[in-house]
Amino acid sequence: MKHWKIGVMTVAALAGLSLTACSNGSKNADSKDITMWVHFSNTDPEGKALAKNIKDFNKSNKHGYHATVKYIPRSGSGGGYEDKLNAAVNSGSLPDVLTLDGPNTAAYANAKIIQPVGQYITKKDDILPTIKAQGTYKGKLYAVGYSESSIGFYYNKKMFKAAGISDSELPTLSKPWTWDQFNAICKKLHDKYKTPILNMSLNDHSEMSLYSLAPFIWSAGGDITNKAGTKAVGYFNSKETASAVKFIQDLVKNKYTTVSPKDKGFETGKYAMLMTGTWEVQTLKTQYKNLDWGVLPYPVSPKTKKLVSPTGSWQYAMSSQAKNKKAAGALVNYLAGTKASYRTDMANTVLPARKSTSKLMLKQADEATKFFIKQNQQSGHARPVIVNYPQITRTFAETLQDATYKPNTDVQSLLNKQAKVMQKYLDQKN
Amino acid sequence: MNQKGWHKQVGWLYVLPALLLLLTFLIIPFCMSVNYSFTDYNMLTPGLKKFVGLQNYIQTLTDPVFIKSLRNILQFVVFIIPIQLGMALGLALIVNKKRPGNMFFKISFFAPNVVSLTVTAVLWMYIVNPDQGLLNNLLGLIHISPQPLLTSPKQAMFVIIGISAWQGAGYQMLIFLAGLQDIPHSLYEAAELDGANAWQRFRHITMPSLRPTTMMIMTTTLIAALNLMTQAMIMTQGGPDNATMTPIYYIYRTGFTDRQLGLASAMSVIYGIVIIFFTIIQRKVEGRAQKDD
Amino acid sequence: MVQIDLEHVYKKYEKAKDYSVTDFNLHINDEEFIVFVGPSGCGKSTTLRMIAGLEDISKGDLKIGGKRMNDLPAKDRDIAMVFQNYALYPHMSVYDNMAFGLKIRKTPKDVIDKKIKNAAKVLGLTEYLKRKPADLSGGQRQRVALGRAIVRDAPIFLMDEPLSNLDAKLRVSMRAEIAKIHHQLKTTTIYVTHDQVEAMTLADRIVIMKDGKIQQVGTPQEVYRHPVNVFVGSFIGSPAMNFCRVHLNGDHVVSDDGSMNFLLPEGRLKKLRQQGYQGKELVMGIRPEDIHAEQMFMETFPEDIATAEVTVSELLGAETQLYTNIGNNEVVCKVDSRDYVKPGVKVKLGFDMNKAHFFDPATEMTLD
Repeated sequence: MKHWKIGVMTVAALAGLSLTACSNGSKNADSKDITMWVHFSNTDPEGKALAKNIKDFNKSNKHGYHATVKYIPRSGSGGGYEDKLNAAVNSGSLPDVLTLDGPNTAAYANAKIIQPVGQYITKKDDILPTIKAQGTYKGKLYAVGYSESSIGFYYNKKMFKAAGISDSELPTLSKPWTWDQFNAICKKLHDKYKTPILNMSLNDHSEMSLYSLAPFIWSAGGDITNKAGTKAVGYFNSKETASAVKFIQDLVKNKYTTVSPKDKGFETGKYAMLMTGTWEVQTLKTQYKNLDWGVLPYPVSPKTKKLVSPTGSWQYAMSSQAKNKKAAGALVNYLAGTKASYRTDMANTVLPARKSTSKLMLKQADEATKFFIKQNQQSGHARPVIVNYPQITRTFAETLQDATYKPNTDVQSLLNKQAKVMQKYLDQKN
Repeated sequence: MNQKGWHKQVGWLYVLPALLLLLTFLIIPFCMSVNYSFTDYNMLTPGLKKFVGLQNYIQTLTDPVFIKSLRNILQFVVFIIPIQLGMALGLALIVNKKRPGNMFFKISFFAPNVVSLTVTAVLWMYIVNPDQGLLNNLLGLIHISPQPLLTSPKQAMFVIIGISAWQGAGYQMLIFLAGLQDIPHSLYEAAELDGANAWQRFRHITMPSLRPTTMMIMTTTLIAALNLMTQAMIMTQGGPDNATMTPIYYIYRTGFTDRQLGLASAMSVIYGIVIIFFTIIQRKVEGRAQKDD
Repeated sequence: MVQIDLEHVYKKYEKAKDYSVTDFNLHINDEEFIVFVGPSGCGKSTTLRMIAGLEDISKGDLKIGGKRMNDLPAKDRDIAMVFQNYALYPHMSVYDNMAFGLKIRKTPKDVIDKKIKNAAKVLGLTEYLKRKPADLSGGQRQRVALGRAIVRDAPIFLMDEPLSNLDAKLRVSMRAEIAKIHHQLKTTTIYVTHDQVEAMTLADRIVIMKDGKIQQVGTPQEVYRHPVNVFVGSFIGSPAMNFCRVHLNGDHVVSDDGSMNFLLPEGRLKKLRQQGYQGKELVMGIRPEDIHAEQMFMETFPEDIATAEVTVSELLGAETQLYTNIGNNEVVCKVDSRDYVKPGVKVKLGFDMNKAHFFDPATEMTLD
């Protein structure tokens, strides 16, 4: 009577097989249907904007292309969405077009999850150079960002005044603070308030670390890797890099900032300054209306006086499994284009990725956003495009953590050690 | 076919669904893991994985971070078991006496357990914030200077131990409570008449009677402890200085963040062996305890 | 070996409406074996536990050796107790179970060893000393419980229904053991049971309780022969005393349906008349062994005969128990086995009126 066992198992196996078999529909090079996956929900402002953009694309494009979107809201920083992409890679069911976070460009390109899309992009000069740099790997444009980002130094006007800082001492985009001037301002504030007065999110060891602190290194003339992204030794532990890290370390040593800032400390009037991104503008405008605040640019290296600010955000890309490249490329081009990306940026209150959209946004933006747009275009520096980016950014974060948690650490020897660690990651063959 | 044969086949049929699940979600993935551990499998390029022999194993066993994570988890286990069990037993003893407001205490002791571990971790981060946190404020009241807590490599793990014990004790309190209530009241009366005071009654009656319960709780605590990841991930990201890096978190990071599935598979095989080792030790301890009964 | 005094002792549980023990007064002499007996819930165990210190005394005084003990915790009273379910420490061997109390009191090891070995010999436990309670039979466990009490050399033994969990045969043999031990050690003992046979066989004095109140205190003889009320009369003795309502008409007692009509002897008659019960209703109690079926009796007391219809006959060997109906009354009698009669048969029974008991129908107190 073994038939029983065999019978049941066969049925189970067949059921399993049939499930995997019915995965994708038919896909051929002439198909006018374009599938797209995005990392947000259709109820988000970004989702609603995209829905309108897709409708417009479907209506207006001359080839009869029809795009459909699947919304896969992410958890954490990419979480569920990236897992789905990874699963799709393995089962051959990637969509034609997908959204992609800046730092992942190299890895996805290298793994041939996405393919070059440059030939389908029109009006390339209108796209900001930092956006193009972010999406370029080994000389080819793989992804086009549709929004930009920046970091600013928000400051509490009342607390500044009470510490005796006059308006003339405030920096502008054309005349930012040098690190020495910045230290002097911090000292004034610290003398007045006796506690740390700046929140630099030093307790955040995620991507925020490299994103927000690398500009100091770049301003000093240092770097994380060479341009090709193959060498860290000699770059991450250069004298210039060390001077920037030391500057940050001294801020902790002098107790101007703290490694464990209180959440919402700036908004509640505890810290006089907060270094954070453009999203804070909305928070302050809606939840902390009573706070009198402004935004200031990055302090710059006293040697180079070069203003550097961070950049980068999500992009559109064409997957390697897109059969009708023309259609997919057309969608990417449309969505990253002026009209569509303008709608997205306005809905999400993020910075523009193109010169044309900047012009439009500057017309109606509030003071803070205007500042950010200008700082971004004047001084934006793209993050390194490296296949093993997660390991690099983590090593960066650990380095800064080591330097700041133990403020007496010798920065140069720390960087020497960590540059070697980074080099190992860069040397890994993938 | 005779009766016995029929019963056997039907028996197999009953077990079949569970067997299939076990196969699909445990045995097959485990075999696949062992398979991957000998390759350089990168998450983004599954088709390109190559056989690399023992390279991943050698790399793992010489990786100072992995070794540190093993030492960390050992430290965690050594402390969490007596602390959490002690707390659970203590709470159970308190709640076992008929007192007004007992229900309130039972609920509040158990409450931490129903809150998700992630939420617990986030909440505690506020409390243990070295600058503004409640804990340092309270220490200040008794003239202890503010402690670095999670920002100190020396203290970070102990902070996590404390928080984990706080979260887990409530559940085990209930189990201890059941065990306590199983002890016949007359044993205590006999001991009382024999002249035993409260401590002697606890030592000679309560503790021996609770031995099977204690063993069971020790096992479940050990298993949960070896799986430590959430607190490390949310509160410290394994730092500072990898002081709170745990094997499971490291495996997760290597596999999913760094995308090195081959290497992570080797790590999980090695850690699996470590867990088996712990299990054997724990069995021996339990066996000896049972013999004494 | 001490005296125990309970003076006006009351017990009321916190949320209860009524008292569980009411106005308990008793003086127990040194070396006495006292048995508290009564139906379930009569308060005998509660009283025992108050003496032990396991329950608080709501009102009244407990004195041991003349000293007031109410507030002294149980562990300081130097009392040994045997529990109904033995309460042996499951994780200790028999030896350690018995040694526990002595170890607590810091008795030197060699003294402990000697005491245990002695007690083990007396109780036949020597070969079981290393075993754990789970590996013993019920009877062996009971002996260990006894042994644990004995080695303590405590001046007072309390036993709470120690034989209730044993089978009938074991119960009989253990009864003898307990009696033997008491004879040897002469410790003041208070024994609680619901079994009146144990009470009768073991006690120096019996305390019969009902609903938290003492009904009667006396030696087994006294309690058997002179029950102070209907309850005591019915509780002591097996099979139980027969009761029926009768009227005192002239010098006869007559049952309501007339099926029983007996001549009372002079002395009894006088006493009843003196108490004013002529012509009044009475409760008559008569023990089964005081109802006879032999010819000899019938001829001697022809006025004390009734006709009974046998419903059940139990042949016990030496004697026979006959369950009969006399009119509307159920009457049990014990007769010699030679007088065995089959059910359904009508038989003549003689009632020994000298041994009959009379009680007031309202108060149920004895009129003897």
